[in-house]
Parts: sequence; C-alpha cells; structure tokens
Amino acid sequence: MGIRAKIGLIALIMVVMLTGCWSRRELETLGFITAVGLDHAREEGKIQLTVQMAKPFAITGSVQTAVQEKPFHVMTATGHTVFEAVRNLNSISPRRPFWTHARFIVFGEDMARDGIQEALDFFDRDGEPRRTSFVMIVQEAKASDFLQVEFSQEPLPSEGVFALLQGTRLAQSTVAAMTVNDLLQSLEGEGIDPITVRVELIRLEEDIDIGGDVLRDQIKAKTRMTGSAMFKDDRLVAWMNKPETRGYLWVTGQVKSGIININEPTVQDAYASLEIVSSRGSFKPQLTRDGIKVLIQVEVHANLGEMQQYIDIRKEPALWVSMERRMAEVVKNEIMAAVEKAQHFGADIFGFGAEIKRRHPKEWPRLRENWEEEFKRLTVEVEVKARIKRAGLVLKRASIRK
Amino acid sequence: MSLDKISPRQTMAMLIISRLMMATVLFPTLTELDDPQNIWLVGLLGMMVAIPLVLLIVALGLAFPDKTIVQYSQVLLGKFPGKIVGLLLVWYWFHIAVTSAAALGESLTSAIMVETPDVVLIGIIAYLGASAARNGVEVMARVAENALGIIVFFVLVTTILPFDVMKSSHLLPVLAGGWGSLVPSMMSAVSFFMEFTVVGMLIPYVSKPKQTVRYSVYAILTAGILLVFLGLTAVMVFGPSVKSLSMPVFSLARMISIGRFFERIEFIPMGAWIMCTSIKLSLFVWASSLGLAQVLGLSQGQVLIYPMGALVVAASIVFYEDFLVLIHFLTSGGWSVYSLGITLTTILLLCSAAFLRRLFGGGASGD
Repeated sequence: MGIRAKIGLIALIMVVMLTGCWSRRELETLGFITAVGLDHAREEGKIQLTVQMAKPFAITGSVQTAVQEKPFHVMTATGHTVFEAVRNLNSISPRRPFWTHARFIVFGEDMARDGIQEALDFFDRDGEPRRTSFVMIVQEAKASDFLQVEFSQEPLPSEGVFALLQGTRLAQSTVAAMTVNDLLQSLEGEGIDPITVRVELIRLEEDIDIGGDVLRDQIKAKTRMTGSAMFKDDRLVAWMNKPETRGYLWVTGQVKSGIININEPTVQDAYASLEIVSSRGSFKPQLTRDGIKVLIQVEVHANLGEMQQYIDIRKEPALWVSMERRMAEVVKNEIMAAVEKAQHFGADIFGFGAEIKRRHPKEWPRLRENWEEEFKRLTVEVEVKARIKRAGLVLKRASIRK
Repeated sequence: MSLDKISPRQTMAMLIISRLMMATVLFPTLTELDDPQNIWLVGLLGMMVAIPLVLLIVALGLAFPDKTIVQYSQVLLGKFPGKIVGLLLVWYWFHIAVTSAAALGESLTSAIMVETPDVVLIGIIAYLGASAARNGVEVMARVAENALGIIVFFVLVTTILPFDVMKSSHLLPVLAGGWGSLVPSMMSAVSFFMEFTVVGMLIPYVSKPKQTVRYSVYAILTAGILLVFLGLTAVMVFGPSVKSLSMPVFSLARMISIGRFFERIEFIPMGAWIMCTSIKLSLFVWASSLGLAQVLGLSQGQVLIYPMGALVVAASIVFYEDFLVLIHFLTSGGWSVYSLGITLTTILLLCSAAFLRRLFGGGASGD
C-alpha cells in the first residue's frame, strides 16, 4: 500500500469518525429538558409525563421590555410507560428532548402513593438522564401543575426550585434531599426505606394549564419546601413536617444549619433563637434480650442568635447551662417525633435495619423476615450533647431602663 | 529470533491495560458478587492466586528464552500433542479478543451511540488494533507504554472525583455471606488474570527476559489494586444497587459533578475503554496470529493478522448476538470455568512435562 493510499484510508476513516457516526446530535435540534414531572394520566393505567424544556433563544435574547418571554416551555405526553411518553413528546416538540440536564424529577401525590419504582427505571436505564437529578413529591397536586411554578427573581423555574432546595437544606435543614441515586440505593438496600423532598404548590390562579402562555406577565403558582415525604418501599405513606424532617436529619447526621427556638429561662413567653453551626449524629442498634434498642447520639453546637428578653450571660452561667439543656430537649423532641412517625407507618427511613445488617450480619437474616414488625417494636434511646458556643456581638441584650 | 525487542516495562504496560479493559467496561467480577462490598477481598485473593500461576508461565518461558509458548509446548509434549495445546491457546487468545471486542461494541451502543451498528465501532477498533499488531510487537508495546499513564490517570480520576457522593458505610458488613460466597467472583478475577498466559508469546521478544518475572508481578499488583479501587468506589457510590448496573465504571463517571461546572465527563471512561480495547485487541490478535503461524509451521505470523482481525469482528457479532448472551457468559461462571479450564490444563500439562523432562533428562533439547 503506497503512502497516498494509506493517507486516503486514514482520511476516509476520519470522515466516518468525526461526524460522530449514526448517533450524532446537532445542538440546534436539541431541546434541553430542565425538569420532569410524572403523574397518572386520565386514561386508566397510563403515565403522564410533563417536561419543562428550556428555550435558549429566550434566555439569550436581548428583549428588554417590561414583559419578557418565558425562557421555558412546558409540554406533556402520555404513554403506558415513561419511555413511550418520552417518545410521544417528539410528536409535539420540534426539538428532540435531551435529558442530561434535568435538575429534578417531581412526582404528583397520587402517583407517589401508588409507587414510583416503575417510573424510575427509565431514568436509571437510559443513557441520557442522570442519577444525580433530585426527586421531589408535590403535595395534593399534580406534577404537571408544579412545573408551572415560577419565580419573580429567577427566570428559569428549574433553577429556582433547585436553589430553594439548596437554600432550605443549608440554611434550615428541614428538607431531606434525595437524588435518584440515593433513592435507588434505599429501594434496593435491605432495612431502609426512602425519604425525599416534599414541595407544596401555592396556586395564585385557579386553573393552571400546560404550555399555553408565552409571555411572562403573571405568575400563576409559587412553591415552598416544607419537609419531606416518607416512603414505605416505593409508596408514599406519610408527610413529615419541618421538625420531624429535622429529627430525621439529626439521626442521620445531615443537619447543616438552622434555627432552634427555646423558651428563655426565667422569663415567660419569650424566645431565644439558637443558630446551629455544626452537628454530628449517629445511631447504634443493640440487640438485647428485651429486643432491639437503638442508641441515637447527637452532638450539636450552636450560637446564640437572638434573645427576646434580657439575660446577662456573664452573670448567670447557670442560665447558659439551662439554655443548653432546653436546646437538647428540643433536638430530642424532634428526633422522637420523627422516630414515632416512622414507627407508626412502619417505614424504616433511618436505615436501622441496614445498620443492623452491617453490624450484626449473623442476626440480620432472622430479623429481616419480619422487619416491619421488629421496626415498629424497637425502642430508641436518644443522647443529645448540646453546646452553645458563642453569643454574637453583644454580651447582653439592650434593655429598657425604667 | 527476531529483530523486534520490547522492554519488560512495555510488557507490563500491555498486561495491565489488557487486564483493566474488561473491568472498566463491564466489571463482571464486581457485578457477579452477592455482596459487592467484598470486592477488595476478591481483588486481593485473586492477585494472590494469580501471581504463582502467572509466574509458572513466566518460568517456563525463561527455560526456553528464544521460543514462544506455542513452540516450546511442541518441544515439551511432542509434536502433535504440543500442536493441540498450541491451538487451544490460540483459540483462547482469539476468544479473548472476540469477547473484548463484543464487550466494547455492546457497551458503546447501549450507553451512548444507540443508533450506531456495533459492527462499525468494533470494526474501527479492530482495524486500529490490527494495524498496530501488523507493524510488529515493538509498535504495540510502545503504544501501550504511552497509553498506560493516560489510562491509569483516567482510572484514578474516576475513582477519586465522585468523593462527595461516596458513603463508606456501604463497605460493611465484611464477608456476611461467608467465604463460600466469594468463590464465583474470585474465579472470575483469577480467570481474567489468566489472560496473562499471553506473556508466553512475549518472552522471546523481551530484551531482558529475566526481568519479566518482576514486571509480571508488578503488572498483576498494579492492575489488581486499580481494580480494587474502582470496585470500592463503585460500591461506596452506588451501595447495594451497584449489582444492577451493567457498566459500573461508566455510571460512576456520570455521578461526577463538582461545583456544577465540572460535570459530564463520560468521555473519561469512554476514552479508557477505547484505548484499552484497541491495545488489548492488538496484543491478542498478534498473539493468536503468531501462535497459529507457529502451529501451522508458517515462517511468519504477520500475514495472518488482518484476516485474524476480520475474524474477530465477525465472531464478535456471531458469538454474542446480544448483550444478554455476553453478560450471561461473563457473569454466570461460564467464562471463569472456560478460561480457567483451558489455562490451568495447559499450565499443568506443560509444567509436568517440564518436570519429567528434568527428572529423566530425555527428549529433544530446546535450549
């Protein structure tokens, strides 16, 4: 083979390789999906898939008028499976849906109560969606309505919801954020049930329709994040409010920051707010003769953030200790609220069973048989070490002199 | 016997890359485990079993420093039985090339390029590998030596960067199912190390044959430790659900997201797949062509390389018509029994023949 023939052959191969073969995708033909919603469709047994697709030309466009074009478009399609619905989108979307950038997957309450596992498979199996998308459940609404939520401060709602999630997680620790990966681990793992974010839909207008409006002149719905959704296997069984959710986060050591309110010692009807600065939480299941006992140990450090009434911290160290005790009490109550709720519904969201499997692999097969009953029966002991470390910029509250 | 010379380091590079290939693509040793968190035990035990077996092959090769394993098996066992053993090994190497090509083709088409026919992808990689092999063992070895650093870097990136989603609690309990539960996966680990029989073809080309002993142990240790890293990372990131992944390392790279700007780096495992597979194909196509030539008594193996490469492409489509056949063969113990059957029989036969020859001092002298 001459040198020319060789070069020719290499050029030929490069022609094939560089165009990306059969599976090439041109950027201008793709529609980037930023959020996904799943509901039961009106037809029996079908799934309704709603997606929020970014409109790049509306994001980059230089429309400087008072009313701006929405940078997203909401579309919906149905199918017996998620994948069928996904393909059905092609008959209504001129751009081919591209799934890699989906920030979150939201399930309507009805769908979540009947089980989410069937719908999740597509997002695990297909090559485009990622396991890093967050999963949320919208309370008393359909996911399709939730995708109409908008924010005045953030043009792209999916980014807004994602920012809310991060904000709630980092500033309040009242939301248990789970990605598809976390959820699949809890579904597949023994002795652990899933828990994920609850979002609420705040309707500002009675009927929300899909797609429709192009202009961003009026916001029809808002949202807030208030706690989490408790699952038994893959079915939603209960909602957890903010303190209960934080109870869960204490046990699993995920509390980042947040506010703990306590009654001020010595003063009636006055609160002090403590800002959590760090926390550590862990649990140890013990198999005793009287049954399973779980020892939960939490260590929390906080700063004094606000006091409604006068206390001079220099003069009364006993009050300082008293506030620490009250703080420990609040943390303990939150934990017990979470544990009691989980036990009531038989949903082992903490993974007590999984921890027993890790620590006592010999006993686990026996306990696994009837884990739900064992979980409901087990007793919990909570140890909280609460410390107030600092008190901000003042030594005592400015008091009114009579 | 030839002007081609490769260094022991290059030999090591080729062996490491060959061993890493299947793990970066399908990782059957991991997904076969009942409790995937025991992968590190499997990895360590696998290495410990593999080292003496591979050293036996190297020792045999050093007894005949200018002959390949196919040639000296004819010396040790007699002409006809030796040729049968040689053919068996040629078939085994050929089959490794076919399985690797199929694994790459199936994975690329399942994960990324769904619409592309896999014969195109396999064809391109096989052509790449065969061209390198056609130019002789020196070219292959240099490619491998240069690629090794990049591949190891890719593996380390994939094992380190998903740190924010790792949970070390997934590594417990250790050995809940008892030692017995490790056996199938251990066999799989050792059976992949048995691909190192190909070192029997390389020894005559190594510039300092004695050092092959040391470097083949290095190869086993490096590859084994990287596999353990990959396995442990996958377990820490995916927990019990790692068993249900068809391409754990690829899925691992998809989890990497640092600060929301360093994301979508699937190209890293894909790059490793393609580099590993083309180098592995070149090595095994070269070994089976040369082996076949020596069984048939041809003067050189180079002419067989392109036909052999074409056969690999064809066979990878025919043998493994779909993903299920491939993954079933690799993870149900079929591959382990097959690979260990062929290699252990060969090693046993050759070693006992060598031992008897030494005892009685008979037979035609090979050295």
